[in-house]
Amino acid sequence: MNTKELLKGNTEMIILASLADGPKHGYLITQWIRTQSEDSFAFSPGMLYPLLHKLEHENLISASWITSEEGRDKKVYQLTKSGGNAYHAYKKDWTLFAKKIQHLIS
Amino acid sequence: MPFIKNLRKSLRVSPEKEQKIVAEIEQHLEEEAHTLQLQGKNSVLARQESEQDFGNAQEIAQALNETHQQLPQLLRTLHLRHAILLIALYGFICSYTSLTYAFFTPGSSPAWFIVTIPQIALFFISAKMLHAQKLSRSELRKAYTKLFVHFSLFHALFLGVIALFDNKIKDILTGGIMLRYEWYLARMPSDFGDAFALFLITTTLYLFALLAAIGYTSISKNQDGFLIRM
Repeated sequence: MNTKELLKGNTEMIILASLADGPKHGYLITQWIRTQSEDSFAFSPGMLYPLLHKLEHENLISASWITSEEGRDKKVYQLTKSGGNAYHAYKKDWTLFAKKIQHLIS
Repeated sequence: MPFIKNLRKSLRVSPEKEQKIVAEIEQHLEEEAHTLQLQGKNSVLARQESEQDFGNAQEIAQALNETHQQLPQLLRTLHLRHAILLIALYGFICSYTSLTYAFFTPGSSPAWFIVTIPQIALFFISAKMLHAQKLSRSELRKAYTKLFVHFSLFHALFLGVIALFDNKIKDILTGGIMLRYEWYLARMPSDFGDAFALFLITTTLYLFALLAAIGYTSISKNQDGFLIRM
């Protein structure tokens, strides 16, 4: 399966999905995507961070710096209200799209 | 940390944003390196692997610049080195015109020699700035461009110092070149041969200095790349 082609156009939805269950920092987002997709999708950090900054600029996610238990400062992202709405809209469109494709190929 | 260094070189954002971006990416690199160390890798290899896994620093910086862009496209592509290269080119053009003018002006030939000899000495001193070894072709080109820039800047500075004491050169460096274009135009048809000969002599002198500096720095090529011995 050519996963790279399938990923195109859906990268922002995947990032929003990763934050749907709570705030995460960049490294945790890459790990979440890898484990949830069972290693089918892998976001390189080089691809992820420009996207995170873009989504932050578009006010779909917000960022804050927290101090972890180990005493390190970490930048953590979370969905904004608009981001949550955008994610639900994406999910709805994708579910409908997948249903139509399934209908075509079956 | 070459990755972070390369990233900083290519970022075109405000210093505060640059600091935050670098801190965030540094945090990611540390997390990944820590995970790799838990898998048994040593700290140096873990860090190297996490940097490689991150991607190409220049491409990432470009993508981040696009996201954070506040400057017009042209200004975002300009770099301090472009300004320095322009200054160096100006210094070089000044030197040609000043030498031509000094040579053809009665009673000024000693100044011509006085200016040229220290230039060659300065070129060799500037060659000491090449400290790298095992360079790729593009790194070698960049190293010699840097040498040329330093040489030209020293050259322009040196002429500037002379300008304080020699009114003729001072006249040229402070705009005499443009004011004397009629002089050049009047002399060119009859003295073109002499002027061209002088141009060739000066160019040969500079090329000789460059080749001598290359020999002095002793470049050799092996399978690892270009090796420069100082």
